[in-house]
Amino acid sequence: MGAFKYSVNTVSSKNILNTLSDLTAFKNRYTWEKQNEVAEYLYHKLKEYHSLDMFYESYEADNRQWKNVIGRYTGSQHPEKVYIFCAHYDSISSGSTLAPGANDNATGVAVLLEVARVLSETSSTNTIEFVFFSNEEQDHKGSKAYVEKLRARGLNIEGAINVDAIGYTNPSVFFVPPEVKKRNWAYRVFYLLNQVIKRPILYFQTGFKNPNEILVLGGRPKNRAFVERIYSTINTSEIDTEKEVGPQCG
Amino acid sequence: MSFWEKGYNAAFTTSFYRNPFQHTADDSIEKVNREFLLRVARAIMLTTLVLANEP
Repeated sequence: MGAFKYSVNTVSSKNILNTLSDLTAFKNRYTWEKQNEVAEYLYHKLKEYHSLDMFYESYEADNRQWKNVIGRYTGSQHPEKVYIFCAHYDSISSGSTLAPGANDNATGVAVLLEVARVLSETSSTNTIEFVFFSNEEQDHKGSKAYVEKLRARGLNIEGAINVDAIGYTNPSVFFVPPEVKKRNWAYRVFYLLNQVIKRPILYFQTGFKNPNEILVLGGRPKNRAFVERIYSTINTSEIDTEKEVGPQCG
Repeated sequence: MSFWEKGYNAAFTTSFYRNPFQHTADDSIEKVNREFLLRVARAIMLTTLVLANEP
């Protein structure tokens, strides 16, 4: 953590919660009209960070033009070396027109907006691109369109990190100390994740200081080295939140 | 992830279980674990800084 500790500790819970409030206030982020409104909201939020280059990337689907929102910090020394941090901004709800999508995925969007803000106050030798996808809940159309165009842009993509639904834990389910039980729930999680992802994956978990709070970091086996790099950064972090956050919800 | 399909290095972060409010009208702010969310946010911030400045 060392030299980055100050920046890490300036990540603001208040800012994140304000964005969560704004995004859930759209009521749903599913229809074309609503997703366009959210795209404009994100664009203008990111525009406040003056060192960021902003643009929309449009694509056609179902006879409509949809938008991904992109903000890029160009690296000062290695601009050709690019890392992508992404999150989808749409939401969906079964059997209801109300789809606040607070956890899925206003959390991912709000966190990346805050990370972009803090990064704008520091320096970056490599290029960081923040991408906010439309239509993840509709066959991943936004991310597919973005990735389809990546090669044509001629960038050297070092890696991408997708941030999705990161605000929910259910500690009572997972705090099972004996080793044999740990193996059992690890197997169960592995099975469930494979059911969700429907392709071979590897995963790591970190409990930070609190073993009841678990974040999953995953990837494909062929991406193992990259995933391990991210995991080693996250898992060794000493991250203090006690002074800023009020009573825990959820 | 779409990145995997095209052969890019890619990782995802998510909470362990998909929660019971997933894809429902009840996926509201009140259900979000704020302390956990901030912890994850700071972990992602650190990851960003490390990758942004690695040689």
